[in-house]
Amino acid sequence: MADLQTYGQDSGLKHTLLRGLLYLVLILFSIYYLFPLFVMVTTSLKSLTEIREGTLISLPRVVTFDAWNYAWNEACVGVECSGIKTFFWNSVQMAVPAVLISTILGALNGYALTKFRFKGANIVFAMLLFGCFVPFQVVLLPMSVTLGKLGIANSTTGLVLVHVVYGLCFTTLFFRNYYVSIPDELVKAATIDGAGFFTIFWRIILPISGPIIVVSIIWQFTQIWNDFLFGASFSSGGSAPMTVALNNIVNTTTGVKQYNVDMAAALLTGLPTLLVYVLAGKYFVRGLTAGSVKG
Amino acid sequence: MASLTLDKVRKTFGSVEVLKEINLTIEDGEFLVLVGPSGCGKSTLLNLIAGLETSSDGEIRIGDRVINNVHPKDRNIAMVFQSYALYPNMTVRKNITFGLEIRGVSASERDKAVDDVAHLLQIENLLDRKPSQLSGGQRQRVAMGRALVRNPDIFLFDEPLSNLDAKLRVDMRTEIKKLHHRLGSTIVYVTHDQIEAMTLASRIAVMKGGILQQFDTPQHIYEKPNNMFVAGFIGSPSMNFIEAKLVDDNGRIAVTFDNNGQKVVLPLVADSPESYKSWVGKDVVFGIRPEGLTHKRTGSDQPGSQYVNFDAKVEVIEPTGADTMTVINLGGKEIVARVRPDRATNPGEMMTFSADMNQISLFDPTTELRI
Amino acid sequence: MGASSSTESNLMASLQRNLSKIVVAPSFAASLFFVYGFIIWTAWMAFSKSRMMPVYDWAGLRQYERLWQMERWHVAIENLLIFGGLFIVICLFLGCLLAVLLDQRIRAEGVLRTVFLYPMALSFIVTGTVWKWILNPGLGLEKMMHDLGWATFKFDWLVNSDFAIYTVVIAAVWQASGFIMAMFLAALRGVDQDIIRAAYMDGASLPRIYFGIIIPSIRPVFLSAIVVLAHLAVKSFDLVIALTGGGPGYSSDLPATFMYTMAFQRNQLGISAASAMMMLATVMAIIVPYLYSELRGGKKNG
Ligand SMILES: Nc1ncnc2c1ncn2[C@@H]1O[C@H](COP(=O)(O)OP(=O)(O)OP(=O)(O)O)[C@@H](O)[C@H]1O
Ligand SMILES: [Mg+2]
Repeated sequence: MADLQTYGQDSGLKHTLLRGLLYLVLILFSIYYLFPLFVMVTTSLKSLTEIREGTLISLPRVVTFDAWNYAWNEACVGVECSGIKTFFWNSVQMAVPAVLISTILGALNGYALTKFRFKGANIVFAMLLFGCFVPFQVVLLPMSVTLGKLGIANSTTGLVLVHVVYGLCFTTLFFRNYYVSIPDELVKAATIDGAGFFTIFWRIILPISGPIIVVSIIWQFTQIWNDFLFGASFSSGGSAPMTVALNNIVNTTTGVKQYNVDMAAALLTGLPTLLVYVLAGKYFVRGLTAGSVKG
Repeated sequence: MASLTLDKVRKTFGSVEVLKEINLTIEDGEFLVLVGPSGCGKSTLLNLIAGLETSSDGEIRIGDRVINNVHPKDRNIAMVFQSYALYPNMTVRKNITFGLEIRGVSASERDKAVDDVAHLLQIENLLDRKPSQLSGGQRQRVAMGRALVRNPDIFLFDEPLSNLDAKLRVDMRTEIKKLHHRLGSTIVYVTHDQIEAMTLASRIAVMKGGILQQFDTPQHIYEKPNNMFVAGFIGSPSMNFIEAKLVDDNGRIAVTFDNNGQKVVLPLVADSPESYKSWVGKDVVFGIRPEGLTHKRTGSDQPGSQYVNFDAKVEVIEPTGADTMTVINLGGKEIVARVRPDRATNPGEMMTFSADMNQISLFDPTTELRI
Repeated sequence: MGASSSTESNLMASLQRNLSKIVVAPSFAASLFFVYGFIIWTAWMAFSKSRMMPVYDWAGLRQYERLWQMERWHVAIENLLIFGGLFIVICLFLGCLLAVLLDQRIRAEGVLRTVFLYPMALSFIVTGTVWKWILNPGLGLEKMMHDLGWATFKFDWLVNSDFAIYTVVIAAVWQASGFIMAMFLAALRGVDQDIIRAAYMDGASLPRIYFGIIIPSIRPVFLSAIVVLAHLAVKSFDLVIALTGGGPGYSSDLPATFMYTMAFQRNQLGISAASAMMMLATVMAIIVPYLYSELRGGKKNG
């Protein structure tokens, strides 16, 4: 497609004008996409007085990290006023095991479903896949009953279980589609060499699964970290994940509205996934497309 | 080293019968080549021998041992795959020793084994590379090394050369042949290249649609193909077929057919099989290989000669260097004759050909079997 | 000895074969229980008299009747149509436009792509929080415009019950359009170069090439994008909660927030289950035909 440029070469002036327009439009769009981030950052660095006096786009005259400090250490979530940091750790404690478990299970499933196919493997896969599309509202009520019965309602363990169960279909999909393109002959050769199911997985398949492991981890991490529905439904008070805490801080109606603290808390909540995106954007996009376009 | 026996082996995938009652026996040290068109079940048969698939019926034996239910790793076989299937994450050395390591062979023994094999295949300088750093031919060697190092009873090759370019393919073919001579090992080799089959095999098994069509030495298969499929499949360019009739021509049996309103009569040689007699007066398919049809030979006019002359118009010529393939229209069919370059004529001209009646085959037009 | 080793390896072989099933079994069982079982469970609740606590005595279609008699549910459905329709159309348009623009050998393509796509990495709650701040009538956009000299500028959609749902569209488009751009861009890059060269040789102009050849040839991506967006729209929950809280009143409720409210705040489990089943039916109506065609089409490629 890049070649089109060479085809599109009209006369010099017209071409230059068009190119100029093109860049202008792109810059305008960039401003649109960057604007909220800009507002978040500047607002979080201002004092409340300055916010009231200035506007959205005015830069902070005095840069202060008070709001960040307050959001992290002192902001009130419900009645508890010890900042968002405990909830940050809640999210970490929820996300890390859930991501790891669902990725490991997804890798094993994908491997078993492609390289040691059994009768009905396709049906099993199709049935697992279906779980990716179910609107989660349809499982909320039974899940809260079940978590209660299991005695893990309102706990991080409960949320880990929920995220593993509903993340499995995605991780299985990722790994299955990746392993389908690995030639079966590799497994046959290893079988003749005497390696069994787990040896082949561990020694041959896993070492060449690097990219898809990264995709799966990133996808699961962003999904789980960003989740609000399950967090809001199955946790309460001190066990809530960070997104729930953020929403709580923002929607607290008592006292003066501290926009700078809201923005700092929002940034803190968004930072881990943004960081992942900046560091591994390529894999992030791959996960998004793999997770949405089946095939 | 060991012999291999397939006894009434069948394989079905679901309701599709991919292999239908295959019977084969090869002796210790034989080089068996399985040929056939794509999808005829060659790889499936090889996988059955390897134990990567289980047969639906029948018995597979290596030596005297029935191995139907023996795990691949306990069959003492080694396999080379079309795609080579080298482990991408391991170095060449690791690739070659992986099987030994799994079997618990000590590190020092592994090192020695790898050195021997690397020396044999001249890949000593590649041992520390990853497969992605190798050329196609080098990968092929490593794949062979991985098989050789185990010193198996039987080697299985599944189209090992088909991913190489033409020149390399010929070279590797020669090397495999040399290797076989040197090691004297039993080999089952799958290809759909009939030249590979002819050059390598001690015996060839021709398959089609899951059925074994013929199982014999290359020469015999070439000269006396069992049926029209084998006749057409083996040999390049392939055998010419002309719909003809068997008649009694003054006491000698002759093949006759119509060529543009003109009757061509080709008397058979005197020592033709008795069985031909019962076909006199009936339709047959007359088969003759291109080298059986040449320019006019000296002495071909003598009565009782094995050569019979006839005239035909040359349609197209395809020089190959050594010979000129001359296409003529005979009995409504395009027929290829192999002519010496200095005797070839230009398209459109008439030319006298002589057919070597010692090199002919006759087939039943309905069953397509050899008469 | 031969016999014993063969039965042993027989066992091994059958274990090997079954290992595969054993490995998949837990996930499959989890899916059977937590997905299929729960769907049936919810369906059952929707046929029961459940209110505060789940009870399981049969009430037929009572809950569905009550659901469809609720003004609030009708608002939610209407909002879903507005939100879903606008969200899908605008995202498709923006995504396609940005992809085509980025496809013109742009110097800083990598940077721009990153900029367009980063919102997708954020939680909807974060997105909602920041847009709520930007759109708030007191200190946000409105004040900015006033200070810039546009004294009559008024933008109170966030607190206007007729327009609150449109603010959800604005934020949702901001978040998801970059992703659609990435989908389209990948598809544009996959178009056969030779066809484009051939068209150029035939004298077709750049817009002609795009509208006549390239965009029609990436039609399947439009379908995928629509399915993805529709799926997102039906599931949308977090954004509404963070941005408008469904308000003012319940004017910006979506089925997802409706369901949640009924379940966890209003103690109307039966109605909540019924609304969840309606959502499931909607998603299935979109996804099942799509998946069917995708999987059938996929067979050809092996
Ligand atoms: N696992 C399987 N399930 C169903 N059918 C199969 C399976 N494996 C092979 N087949 C079918 O069995 C037939 C024989 O396949 P096989 O791979 O043995 O052919 P082949 O002779 O090796 O062909 P090629 O020369 O293309 O490699 C084919 O029609 C194929 O579609
Ligand atoms: Mg094959």
